[in-house]
Amino acid sequence: MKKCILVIDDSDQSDVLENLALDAEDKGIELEWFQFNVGGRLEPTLLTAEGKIDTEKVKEEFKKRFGGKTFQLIACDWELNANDIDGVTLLRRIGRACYLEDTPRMMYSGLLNQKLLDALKRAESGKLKNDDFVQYIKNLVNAHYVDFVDRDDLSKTILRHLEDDESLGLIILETLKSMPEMVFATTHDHNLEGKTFKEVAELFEKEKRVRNDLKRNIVQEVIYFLTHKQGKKRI
Amino acid sequence: MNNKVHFKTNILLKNIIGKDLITDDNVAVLELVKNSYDAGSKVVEIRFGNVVQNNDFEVDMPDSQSSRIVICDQGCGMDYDGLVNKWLNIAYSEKKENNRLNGRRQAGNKGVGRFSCDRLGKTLTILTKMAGHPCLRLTIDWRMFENENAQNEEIQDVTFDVQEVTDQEARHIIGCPSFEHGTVLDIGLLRERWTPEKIIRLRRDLEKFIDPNSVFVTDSFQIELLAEEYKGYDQEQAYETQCVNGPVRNKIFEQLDFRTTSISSYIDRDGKFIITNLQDRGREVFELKEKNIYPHLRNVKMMVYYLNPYSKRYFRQQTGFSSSDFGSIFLFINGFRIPPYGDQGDDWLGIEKRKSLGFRRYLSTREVVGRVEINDEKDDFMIISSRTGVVNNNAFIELSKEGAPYGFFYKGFRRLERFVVEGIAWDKTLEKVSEDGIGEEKYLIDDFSRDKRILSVIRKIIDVDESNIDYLHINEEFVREILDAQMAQTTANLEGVVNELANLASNADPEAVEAFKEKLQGDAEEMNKLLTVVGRLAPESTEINKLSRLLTEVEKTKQEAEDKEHLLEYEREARLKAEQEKEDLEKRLALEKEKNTYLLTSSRSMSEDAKGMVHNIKIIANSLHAKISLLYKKVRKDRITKDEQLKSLSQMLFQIDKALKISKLITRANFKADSEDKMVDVVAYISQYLDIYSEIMEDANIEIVKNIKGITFVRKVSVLDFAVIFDNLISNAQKANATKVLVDASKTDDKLTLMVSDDGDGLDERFVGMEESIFELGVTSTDGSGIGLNTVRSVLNDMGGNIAYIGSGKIMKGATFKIELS
Repeated sequence: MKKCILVIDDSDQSDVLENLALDAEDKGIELEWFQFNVGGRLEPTLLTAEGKIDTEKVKEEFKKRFGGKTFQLIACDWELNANDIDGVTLLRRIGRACYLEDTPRMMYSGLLNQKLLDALKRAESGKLKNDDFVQYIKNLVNAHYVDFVDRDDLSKTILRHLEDDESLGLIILETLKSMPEMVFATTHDHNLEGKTFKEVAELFEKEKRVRNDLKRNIVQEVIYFLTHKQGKKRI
Repeated sequence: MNNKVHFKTNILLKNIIGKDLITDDNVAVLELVKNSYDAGSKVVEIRFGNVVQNNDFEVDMPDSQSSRIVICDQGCGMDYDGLVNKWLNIAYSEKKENNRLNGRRQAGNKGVGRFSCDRLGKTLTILTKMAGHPCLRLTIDWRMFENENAQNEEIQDVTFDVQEVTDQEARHIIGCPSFEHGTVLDIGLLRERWTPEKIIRLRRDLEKFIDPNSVFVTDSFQIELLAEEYKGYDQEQAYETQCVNGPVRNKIFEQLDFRTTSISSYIDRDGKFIITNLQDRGREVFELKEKNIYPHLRNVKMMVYYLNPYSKRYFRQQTGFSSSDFGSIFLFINGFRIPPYGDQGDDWLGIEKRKSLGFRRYLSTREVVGRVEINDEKDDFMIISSRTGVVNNNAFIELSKEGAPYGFFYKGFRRLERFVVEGIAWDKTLEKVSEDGIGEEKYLIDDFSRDKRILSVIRKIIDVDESNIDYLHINEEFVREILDAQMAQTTANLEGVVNELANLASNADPEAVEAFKEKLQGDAEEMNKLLTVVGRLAPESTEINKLSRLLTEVEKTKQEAEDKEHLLEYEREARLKAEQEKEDLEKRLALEKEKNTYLLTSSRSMSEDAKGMVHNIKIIANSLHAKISLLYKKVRKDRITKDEQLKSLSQMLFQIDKALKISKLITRANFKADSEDKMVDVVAYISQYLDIYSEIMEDANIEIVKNIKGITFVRKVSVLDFAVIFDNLISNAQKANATKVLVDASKTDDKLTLMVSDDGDGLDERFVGMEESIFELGVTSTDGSGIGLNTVRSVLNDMGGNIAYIGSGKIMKGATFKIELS
């Protein structure tokens, strides 16, 4: 089983990821990993002159390096060594532009518990306004991440996730990308007819409607196929 | 044998066309009243004499003590020819030849009305006088035609005497001061006993016989009942309508106009158009002119009043009897009623049959009164000789058909029905209505809602193709009242909501806003409905623009309310979530506290510096953990080369050096170990670090000279990395016996160059000619205990920099290294 993950961190995580790949191998997973160092000294071109994260550059660089890839998981450090932006915010800002909406995401931090307790204390003492505290918690709750983990638990959490079910959308996307030259001959959705898998994959990433329709159609086709002896394959 | 034969008219024919044909006393009286009307009389008196006490059983022919009904008119009367050749001529009717006589449309036309007298009494004395002619008297004893054994006796075999009487004699008989012209029917030896109740029933029938609208408005005709014997009875009655004596009036419909909902529909004289008018509580709702689709109907009018419980109560108050006793829909042809149509229990239009089919929302005869008036100039309607109904011909079918295509009556009746059922919601009156007449009319829905509902269903009520409509006029005042009321209500609501919204607290319940929103939504919907309806029905109404503007205002406020609601909802949700989070955190904290009070306490008491140090140590430890773990796995799996092992180990050393560096730097006031990478002025930092170098490095015995003034180079770097790099370079210098290290900084094109040279022995001879190899992995220029220049280069490369060996004796006599950062 082949899997591909991306880790976004401000410091080099290659040791951790290499370790992870070896552990994954023991579980029968062939893990390809990438890291994207944002916020730290390792990628100075992604920073502004003031040392802050330049989101536009990050988007650009992300597309350039990872545009064609499908990840089963993106793990992101919560603290990116930048006072203005954390991992949650970064993913929110680049998520749509980089078609990460369907990709499961994981947030980790070396100081998760500490940060939450600090925020709570600051809210209790009135240093943090109620509204800001609410927003702080809300961002965490509403970001739809697959997990929040302590940095110490990162490897095993990623591994556990890789062993779990995969999202249908990702399987489809991966399949489309793996055979870019093939062409959609007939589908329920006439807009996709005649398009190559590559073109469909692009639409699939960009347009929620296409994504949902194709997923539904494929499921319907499969159910038809599975329930009819002479299932007529139409896709 | 005579070849020519003919019918013989047996004397018993009189019974057939007389008392057997006219089966109802009241119908008989009406027939006679009709004759008076046809004769042009303006008044007809019906006098009852000796109906309580009489000598009927003692005498053969009536005298002054015998029971009698005297019907006395002031019509044109008859001369001898009229009396003998027309009146006595059975079935002869001038009216058949000429239906307008004496300035009036003739009500009767069968020529048998005169036999009604037979129905009423055993004898008849006619006194008749035409102006300028002598008064004639004729007495008929009907019993003379009743000999059933007289098989061969023909009707004309019975003869009577016609006598002339003087005017004075006539006045004496009639009991009137003058008798210029007219006819008096003195019916004697009455066949029935006329009790007060029976006479009152006659009165009611007569009231109904008289079409209150079409005939007598312009052409007065008064019927008066007189019964001396019942005057005492009358004095005991509470209502005029319960009295025997007095004129017959029919004002019920006029009064109902102000109390009820009614529809009138009229087919014009030419039969081209139907004009329909719907009134609600004395106010016109609409008038509709549409094409007439009934070829056999012209000059026909129908009028139906819907009686709600209040109207019924009013009816009872006014008349003394219930509306259902009164009857339902009466038919008038040429001004006179056709019985029994409309009588209680009669269902000539099939209203009850239709209702009994189970349609709850149909009106029944108990809920309506009304009439159909026909001015039948062309004898399209044929009245049955017995005076009980009309022949079921095409005209009658077009009038009365129940079922598609509906007849004229139902066209109007169903509109009223729809109006009542859908417009004014008939079931919305209070169920219990007191019969005592005390108390206001109370409805479950207010007048405004009622009017709006009416307006909204007008189209549905009318239910006719656009192409058939000539014009439709909706009462402008009615429309304006509704729009004004709507605007007043909405404006009040709007002001209230705007105020409430402005004063709403930030933590208010979103449901509170929901209520405002619903109120505005309701108003907006109502206004939209009204605009649609009014725009279609009364597009010229000036109120439309005002209403539209108000609607925009309402929509705007509604949007504001919606935004506010969303905001409050969002805030509430956030509050709840935060509360939940807080609760969870508190629980966890409490749990942790129980589990490990000591750790928690020390965590709380840690300084910011300590926290930063812990963080850094954690990063380093994690890094070391990963590296060692990886090394372990790779070695175990035999997947690592010697070079890789060395690289890994030197990286570990570097990390350990960093950890040691933290322990040394942490005491410095200007060192903040809160994060690894920081935006710093690299030159200033190095300068400061070199200043304290001898203090923190216990065995340092070396002079460090800086030449770096006036240069600023701000980058995000790991300050610890720099410290360790300089430690390494200085340590190497010391190992080469240097006593002095010179650091020279320069900056060109945004690139920082640091030249580090010493006065030591320079590079070991082994490296001469292959100086670059000192940066190779595993190579050591000294005793091999340090992290190695390979790691130094690798760290600098990671931060976008580089290090190169320049040579020995270049600046000072020892080795010189050039560090570049961009």
